[in-house]
Amino acid sequence: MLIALLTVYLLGGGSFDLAQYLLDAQDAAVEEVADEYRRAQVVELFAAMRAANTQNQSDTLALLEAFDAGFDGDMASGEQRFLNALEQGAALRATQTNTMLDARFALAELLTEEEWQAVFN
Amino acid sequence: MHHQGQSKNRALVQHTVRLMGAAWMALVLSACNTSSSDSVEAAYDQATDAFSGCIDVQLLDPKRRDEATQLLADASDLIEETLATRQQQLEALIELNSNYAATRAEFDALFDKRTQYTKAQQERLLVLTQRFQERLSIDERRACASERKDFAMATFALLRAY
Repeated sequence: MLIALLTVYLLGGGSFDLAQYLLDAQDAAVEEVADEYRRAQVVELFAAMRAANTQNQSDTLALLEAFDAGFDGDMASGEQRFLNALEQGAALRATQTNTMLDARFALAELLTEEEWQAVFN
Repeated sequence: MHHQGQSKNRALVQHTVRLMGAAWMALVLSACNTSSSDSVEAAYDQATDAFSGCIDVQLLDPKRRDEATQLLADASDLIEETLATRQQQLEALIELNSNYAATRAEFDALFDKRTQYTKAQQERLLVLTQRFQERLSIDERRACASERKDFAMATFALLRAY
Protein backbone atom coordinates (compact mmCIF):
# COMPACT_ATOMS: atom_id res chain seq x y z
CA MET A 1 0.00 0.00 0.00
CA LEU A 2 2.73 2.43 0.93
CA ILE A 3 4.65 1.73 -2.21
CA ALA A 4 1.59 2.41 -4.31
CA LEU A 5 0.95 5.66 -2.50
CA LEU A 6 4.53 6.80 -2.92
CA THR A 7 4.37 6.01 -6.59
CA VAL A 8 1.18 7.96 -7.04
CA TYR A 9 2.71 10.81 -5.15
CA LEU A 10 5.74 10.81 -7.40
CA LEU A 11 3.39 10.97 -10.34
CA GLY A 12 1.70 13.89 -8.70
CA GLY A 13 -1.92 12.90 -9.09
CA GLY A 14 -4.59 11.53 -6.86
CA SER A 15 -6.81 12.87 -4.15
CA PHE A 16 -5.49 11.09 -1.09
CA ASP A 17 -4.08 12.91 1.91
CA LEU A 18 -0.44 13.34 0.95
CA ALA A 19 0.62 14.84 4.25
CA GLN A 20 -0.89 11.92 6.12
CA TYR A 21 0.79 9.48 3.78
CA LEU A 22 4.19 11.02 4.50
CA LEU A 23 3.55 10.77 8.21
CA ASP A 24 2.54 7.11 7.84
CA ALA A 25 5.65 6.33 5.80
CA GLN A 26 7.79 8.11 8.35
CA ASP A 27 6.23 6.09 11.16
CA ALA A 28 6.93 2.86 9.28
CA ALA A 29 10.54 3.86 8.68
CA VAL A 30 11.07 4.87 12.30
CA GLU A 31 9.87 1.45 13.36
CA GLU A 32 12.27 -0.30 11.02
CA VAL A 33 15.42 1.73 11.62
CA ALA A 34 16.99 0.79 14.93
CA ASP A 35 20.02 3.06 14.70
CA GLU A 36 19.18 6.39 16.37
CA TYR A 37 21.43 8.52 14.17
CA ARG A 38 19.99 7.18 10.93
CA ARG A 39 16.50 7.30 12.35
CA ALA A 40 16.89 11.01 13.12
CA GLN A 41 18.06 11.61 9.56
CA VAL A 42 15.05 9.75 8.23
CA VAL A 43 12.75 11.96 10.29
CA GLU A 44 14.49 15.09 8.99
CA LEU A 45 14.13 13.88 5.44
CA PHE A 46 10.42 13.23 5.81
CA ALA A 47 9.99 16.67 7.37
CA ALA A 48 11.63 18.18 4.31
CA MET A 49 9.35 16.16 2.05
CA ARG A 50 6.28 17.41 3.90
CA ALA A 51 7.51 20.99 3.61
CA ALA A 52 8.04 20.52 -0.12
CA ASN A 53 4.58 19.03 -0.41
CA THR A 54 3.05 22.02 1.35
CA GLN A 55 4.96 24.46 -0.85
CA ASN A 56 3.91 22.63 -4.01
CA GLN A 57 0.27 22.70 -2.96
CA SER A 58 0.52 26.41 -2.27
CA ASP A 59 2.16 27.08 -5.63
CA THR A 60 -0.44 24.97 -7.42
CA LEU A 61 -3.31 26.80 -5.79
CA ALA A 62 -1.72 30.16 -6.63
CA LEU A 63 -1.41 29.08 -10.26
CA LEU A 64 -5.02 27.95 -10.38
CA GLU A 65 -6.21 31.16 -8.76
CA ALA A 66 -4.21 33.31 -11.17
CA PHE A 67 -5.58 31.40 -14.14
CA ASP A 68 -9.09 31.60 -12.77
CA ALA A 69 -8.86 35.33 -12.12
CA GLY A 70 -7.44 36.22 -15.52
CA PHE A 71 -9.46 33.95 -17.78
CA ASP A 72 -12.80 35.15 -19.12
CA GLY A 73 -13.94 31.80 -20.50
CA ASP A 74 -13.27 32.68 -24.13
CA MET A 75 -10.69 30.25 -25.47
CA ALA A 76 -10.15 32.37 -28.58
CA SER A 77 -8.83 35.33 -26.61
CA GLY A 78 -7.48 33.33 -23.73
CA GLU A 79 -5.54 30.72 -25.67
CA GLN A 80 -2.14 32.16 -24.87
CA ARG A 81 -3.02 32.46 -21.21
CA PHE A 82 -4.19 28.87 -21.30
CA LEU A 83 -0.95 27.70 -22.86
CA ASN A 84 1.09 29.75 -20.40
CA ALA A 85 -0.80 28.17 -17.52
CA LEU A 86 -0.09 24.72 -18.92
CA GLU A 87 3.60 25.55 -19.17
CA GLN A 88 3.67 26.86 -15.63
CA GLY A 89 1.82 23.79 -14.45
CA ALA A 90 4.35 21.57 -16.21
CA ALA A 91 7.20 23.48 -14.59
CA LEU A 92 5.64 23.02 -11.16
CA ARG A 93 5.19 19.34 -11.85
CA ALA A 94 8.83 19.02 -12.95
CA THR A 95 10.00 20.75 -9.79
CA GLN A 96 7.85 18.47 -7.66
CA THR A 97 9.08 15.39 -9.49
CA ASN A 98 12.74 16.35 -9.01
CA THR A 99 12.21 17.13 -5.35
CA MET A 100 10.51 13.83 -4.66
CA LEU A 101 13.05 11.85 -6.65
CA ASP A 102 15.86 13.54 -4.72
CA ALA A 103 14.08 12.56 -1.53
CA ARG A 104 13.52 9.03 -2.75
CA PHE A 105 17.21 8.49 -3.39
CA ALA A 106 18.26 10.23 -0.20
CA LEU A 107 15.96 7.89 1.67
CA ALA A 108 17.41 4.91 -0.17
CA GLU A 109 20.87 5.96 1.01
CA LEU A 110 19.66 6.08 4.60
CA LEU A 111 17.88 2.73 4.54
CA THR A 112 19.27 -0.70 3.93
CA GLU A 113 17.67 -2.78 1.23
CA GLU A 114 16.02 -4.92 3.89
CA GLU A 115 14.61 -1.85 5.63
CA TRP A 116 13.41 -0.50 2.30
CA GLN A 117 11.55 -3.68 1.56
CA ALA A 118 9.99 -3.67 5.03
CA VAL A 119 8.82 -0.07 4.75
CA PHE A 120 7.59 -0.04 1.18
CA ASN A 121 6.40 -3.56 0.53
CA MET B 1 -37.22 9.87 -32.20
CA HIS B 2 -36.02 13.42 -31.95
CA HIS B 3 -36.58 13.44 -28.23
CA GLN B 4 -34.65 10.19 -27.89
CA GLY B 5 -31.70 11.62 -29.79
CA GLN B 6 -31.81 14.83 -27.81
CA SER B 7 -31.95 12.91 -24.55
CA LYS B 8 -29.01 10.78 -25.64
CA ASN B 9 -27.04 13.89 -26.52
CA ARG B 10 -27.75 15.43 -23.17
CA ALA B 11 -26.71 12.28 -21.38
CA LEU B 12 -23.48 12.18 -23.36
CA VAL B 13 -22.73 15.79 -22.60
CA GLN B 14 -23.42 15.27 -18.93
CA HIS B 15 -21.23 12.17 -18.92
CA THR B 16 -18.36 14.05 -20.53
CA VAL B 17 -18.64 17.04 -18.28
CA ARG B 18 -18.85 14.76 -15.29
CA LEU B 19 -15.72 12.95 -16.39
CA MET B 20 -13.77 16.15 -16.85
CA GLY B 21 -15.20 17.60 -13.67
CA ALA B 22 -14.10 14.54 -11.75
CA ALA B 23 -10.55 15.04 -12.95
CA TRP B 24 -10.72 18.67 -11.97
CA MET B 25 -11.92 17.77 -8.52
CA ALA B 26 -9.10 15.24 -8.22
CA LEU B 27 -6.64 18.06 -8.71
CA VAL B 28 -8.41 20.42 -6.37
CA LEU B 29 -8.53 17.75 -3.69
CA SER B 30 -4.90 16.94 -4.22
CA ALA B 31 -3.86 20.58 -4.25
CA CYS B 32 -5.83 21.42 -1.16
CA ASN B 33 -4.70 18.21 0.50
CA THR B 34 -8.18 17.46 1.71
CA SER B 35 -10.25 14.34 1.73
CA SER B 36 -13.40 14.18 -0.31
CA SER B 37 -16.39 15.78 1.36
CA ASP B 38 -20.07 16.35 0.81
CA SER B 39 -19.48 20.01 0.10
CA VAL B 40 -16.97 19.22 -2.64
CA GLU B 41 -19.35 16.72 -4.19
CA ALA B 42 -22.14 19.27 -4.09
CA ALA B 43 -20.00 21.88 -5.80
CA TYR B 44 -19.01 19.40 -8.47
CA ASP B 45 -22.60 18.39 -9.17
CA GLN B 46 -23.61 22.02 -9.39
CA ALA B 47 -20.89 22.80 -11.93
CA THR B 48 -21.83 19.77 -13.99
CA ASP B 49 -25.49 20.68 -14.10
CA ALA B 50 -24.75 24.30 -14.92
CA PHE B 51 -22.55 23.54 -17.89
CA SER B 52 -24.69 20.85 -19.46
CA GLY B 53 -27.77 22.95 -18.88
CA CYS B 54 -26.24 25.93 -20.63
CA ILE B 55 -25.36 23.84 -23.68
CA ASP B 56 -28.88 22.49 -23.87
CA VAL B 57 -30.38 25.94 -23.67
CA GLN B 58 -28.02 27.75 -25.99
CA LEU B 59 -27.36 25.26 -28.77
CA LEU B 60 -30.86 24.95 -30.18
CA ASP B 61 -29.69 24.32 -33.74
CA PRO B 62 -29.59 20.49 -34.03
CA LYS B 63 -26.63 20.41 -36.42
CA ARG B 64 -24.38 22.57 -34.28
CA ARG B 65 -25.54 20.89 -31.13
CA ASP B 66 -24.72 17.47 -32.59
CA GLU B 67 -21.30 18.68 -33.70
CA ALA B 68 -20.57 20.15 -30.31
CA THR B 69 -21.78 16.99 -28.62
CA GLN B 70 -19.55 14.87 -30.84
CA LEU B 71 -16.56 17.03 -29.94
CA LEU B 72 -17.33 16.57 -26.28
CA ALA B 73 -17.56 12.84 -26.87
CA ASP B 74 -14.18 12.97 -28.61
CA ALA B 75 -12.80 14.80 -25.61
CA SER B 76 -14.25 12.12 -23.38
CA ASP B 77 -12.51 9.43 -25.42
CA LEU B 78 -9.27 11.36 -25.24
CA ILE B 79 -9.54 11.63 -21.49
CA GLU B 80 -10.27 7.94 -21.08
CA GLU B 81 -7.31 7.11 -23.30
CA THR B 82 -5.14 9.42 -21.23
CA LEU B 83 -6.21 7.87 -17.96
CA ALA B 84 -5.61 4.36 -19.29
CA THR B 85 -2.12 5.32 -20.37
CA ARG B 86 -1.51 7.02 -17.06
CA GLN B 87 -2.43 3.76 -15.35
CA GLN B 88 0.13 1.91 -17.43
CA GLN B 89 2.74 4.50 -16.58
CA LEU B 90 1.82 4.24 -12.93
CA GLU B 91 2.26 0.46 -12.97
CA ALA B 92 5.65 0.85 -14.61
CA LEU B 93 6.67 3.32 -11.93
CA ILE B 94 5.42 1.04 -9.17
CA GLU B 95 7.57 -1.77 -10.51
CA LEU B 96 10.62 0.46 -10.82
CA ASN B 97 10.25 2.03 -7.40
CA SER B 98 9.95 -1.35 -5.72
CA ASN B 99 13.50 -1.97 -6.83
CA TYR B 100 15.78 -0.60 -4.12
CA ALA B 101 18.65 -0.33 -6.61
CA ALA B 102 16.67 1.54 -9.29
CA THR B 103 18.73 4.32 -10.87
CA ARG B 104 17.90 7.98 -11.36
CA ALA B 105 18.29 7.53 -15.10
CA GLU B 106 15.60 4.88 -15.09
CA PHE B 107 13.22 7.22 -13.28
CA ASP B 108 14.12 10.13 -15.55
CA ALA B 109 13.37 8.01 -18.60
CA LEU B 110 9.92 7.17 -17.29
CA PHE B 111 9.13 10.78 -16.47
CA ASP B 112 10.45 12.02 -19.81
CA LYS B 113 8.14 9.58 -21.53
CA ARG B 114 5.28 10.83 -19.39
CA THR B 115 6.06 14.46 -20.20
CA GLN B 116 6.12 13.83 -23.93
CA TYR B 117 2.84 11.99 -23.75
CA THR B 118 1.28 14.80 -21.74
CA LYS B 119 2.33 17.38 -24.30
CA ALA B 120 0.84 15.35 -27.13
CA GLN B 121 -2.44 14.92 -25.26
CA GLN B 122 -2.51 18.63 -24.43
CA GLU B 123 -2.22 19.51 -28.09
CA ARG B 124 -4.99 17.09 -29.04
CA LEU B 125 -7.26 18.41 -26.32
CA LEU B 126 -6.55 22.01 -27.25
CA VAL B 127 -7.55 21.31 -30.84
CA LEU B 128 -10.82 19.76 -29.69
CA THR B 129 -11.44 22.72 -27.41
CA GLN B 130 -10.87 25.18 -30.23
CA ARG B 131 -13.15 23.26 -32.58
CA PHE B 132 -15.79 23.17 -29.89
CA GLN B 133 -15.43 26.90 -29.40
CA GLU B 134 -15.98 27.47 -33.10
CA ARG B 135 -19.38 25.78 -32.92
CA LEU B 136 -20.66 28.49 -30.60
CA SER B 137 -21.76 31.93 -31.76
CA ILE B 138 -20.55 35.06 -30.00
CA ASP B 139 -23.84 35.33 -28.14
CA GLU B 140 -23.68 31.69 -27.11
CA ARG B 141 -20.13 32.14 -25.94
CA ARG B 142 -21.15 35.09 -23.84
CA ALA B 143 -24.19 33.28 -22.47
CA CYS B 144 -22.12 30.28 -21.38
CA ALA B 145 -18.93 32.17 -20.54
CA SER B 146 -18.81 31.22 -16.88
CA GLU B 147 -19.71 27.60 -17.60
CA ARG B 148 -17.06 27.38 -20.30
CA LYS B 149 -14.58 28.95 -17.96
CA ASP B 150 -15.20 26.11 -15.55
CA PHE B 151 -14.83 23.71 -18.45
CA ALA B 152 -11.47 25.26 -19.36
CA MET B 153 -10.43 25.06 -15.73
CA ALA B 154 -11.36 21.41 -15.69
CA THR B 155 -9.28 20.87 -18.82
CA PHE B 156 -6.31 22.67 -17.38
CA ALA B 157 -6.63 20.88 -14.06
CA LEU B 158 -6.89 17.53 -15.79
CA LEU B 159 -3.65 18.08 -17.61
CA ARG B 160 -2.06 19.33 -14.45
CA ALA B 161 -3.35 16.48 -12.36
CA TYR B 162 -2.27 13.54 -14.48
